[in-house]
Amino acid sequence: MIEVRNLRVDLGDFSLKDIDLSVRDGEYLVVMGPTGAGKTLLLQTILGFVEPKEGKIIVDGRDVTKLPPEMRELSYVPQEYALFPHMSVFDNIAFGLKVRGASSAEVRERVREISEILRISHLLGRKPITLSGGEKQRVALARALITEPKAVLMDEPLSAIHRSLREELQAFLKEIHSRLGFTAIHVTHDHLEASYLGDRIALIAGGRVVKIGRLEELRDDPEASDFIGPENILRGRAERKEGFTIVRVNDIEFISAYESEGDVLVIVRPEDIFVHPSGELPKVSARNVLEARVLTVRYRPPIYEISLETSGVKLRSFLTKQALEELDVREGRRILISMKASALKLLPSVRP
Amino acid sequence: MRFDVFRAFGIFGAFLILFLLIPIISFVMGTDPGDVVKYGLDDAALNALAVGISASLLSTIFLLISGIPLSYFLARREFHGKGLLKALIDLPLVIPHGVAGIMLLMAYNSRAPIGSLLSKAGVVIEDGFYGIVVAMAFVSAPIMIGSLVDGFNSIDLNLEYVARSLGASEWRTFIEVTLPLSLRFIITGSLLSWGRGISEVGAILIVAYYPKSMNVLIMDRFWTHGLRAASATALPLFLISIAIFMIVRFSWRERR
Repeated sequence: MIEVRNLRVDLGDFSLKDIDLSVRDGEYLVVMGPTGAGKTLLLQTILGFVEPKEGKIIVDGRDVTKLPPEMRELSYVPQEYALFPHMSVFDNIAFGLKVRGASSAEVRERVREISEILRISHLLGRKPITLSGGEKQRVALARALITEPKAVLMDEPLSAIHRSLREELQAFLKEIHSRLGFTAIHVTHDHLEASYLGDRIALIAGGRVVKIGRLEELRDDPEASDFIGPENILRGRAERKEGFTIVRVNDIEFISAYESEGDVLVIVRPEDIFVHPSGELPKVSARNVLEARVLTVRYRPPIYEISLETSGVKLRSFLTKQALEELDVREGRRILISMKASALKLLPSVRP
Repeated sequence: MRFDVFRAFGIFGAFLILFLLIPIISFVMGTDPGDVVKYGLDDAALNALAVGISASLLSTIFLLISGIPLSYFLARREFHGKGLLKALIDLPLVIPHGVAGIMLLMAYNSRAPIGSLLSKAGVVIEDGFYGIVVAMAFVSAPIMIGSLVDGFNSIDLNLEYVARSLGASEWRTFIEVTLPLSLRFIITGSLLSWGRGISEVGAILIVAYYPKSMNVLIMDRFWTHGLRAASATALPLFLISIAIFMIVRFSWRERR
């Protein structure tokens, strides 16, 4: 368990203020915020590269605030991974064990083990410069995990990866995390990455933690919505059926045109949720038609944002003033909504 | 035919290259092999060659050992007066060499406080081998330190951070990560400061005329025997310098 208590860090004109965080054993905490929010500074302070002005950092009950980085048992995966360019992949992974004085037989065995889990056994003899972005990520992860640290701290570990590969690597990170159960602090500015990977998300801006909580908690929080964006992000379980993907969220079965299986995020843009007059079944080709109750109607110039609830699932949609009046959408009313299968993006997924 | 900027600059540039190249060619071509055997390879010349090469080697080793810690400190730490300190280190580049020699002689002669301590340990500056080493080290220090600081600055700090987070102490990180990754700059710095050392003459003339190092001998021969003898004396040193420069430079280019 990692605890950050009342932390204050000054760096030039910038400060991190009143940071309180705790990460439970095995938890995957995502720290999310815009560029310049202080995310990297927070990581580097926890790791021990920057000295805080005030506050404490506690790892498994031990106050490490004054300890040098090498005594903290926290592994670091920086942006772009920082693999040692003068060492082979094997030596990169083995570094932490060798430093601890492990025997060469033990080093070989443990490197073999972790390489199999991360599927990089075939890369051990290579030099980092010859690796692809995804391969580098795996090697960096192997190097960080082999010492069995109290936590792995990752700084934008996917931002150096090409967009088309990012989802695949997110899924890989999630798989490895659920398999090995390590404690993780992952910094990102990408709200979908945060939603998908984070057991909890800490929102940080201007050097302060604005909110911390599970995705479901943050989604309903007006302060947090600026970070998470207007999209509807739901957690579900996907299953392939007759050329479509059925995603179960609470009691609702959605149909998506995206190809996926297992735990997924369902992402629907508010403008892709259509509202229909109640009482009659809409004559639309949309696969997903649901009845919903209007919770709130808020004017967000130049458009109205309506929040809806159906079977415990909260959704957000946009309406123009004209549509709002024509459809007579008011708080408390029941309405019909529809979504096309292609409007339900799944993460991770294969594009339809 | 268009007479564009690059064509014009190319022609101007060619003049500069010729300006640099012609003296080298006329020096090598104009030196009589017979004279080289007579002047360049006699006992006095071979001794002077040995003195020059070993003194510049020693000066380079001294600068490496003392320059690596200082340069790492300069590359990694911010402090008040850092700019001033760096300017101070570069000062030998603009001090006339004769003046540098006078300064060294005044500071480290065996009657001065530090010099007297050194002379007790057998290190005598005035007219001694170590005087040559000191003069060479003084004038090449800025080159070595500049190169090393560039090297340490070129390393991604995250590499050191990762090593530390994996349990390596600062010392171990320095030895296993920082030093190997700055090797190219260490080699270049050594080569340049060795070259700067072996080409020094002004400061050496004042601090240590004896034992005669190569450059002093060349001047000596020029005054007493004339240009022919001087060029014949100089040719072996020139060829050795070129060879070392080429070997180090190209073997490193290949490995990158």
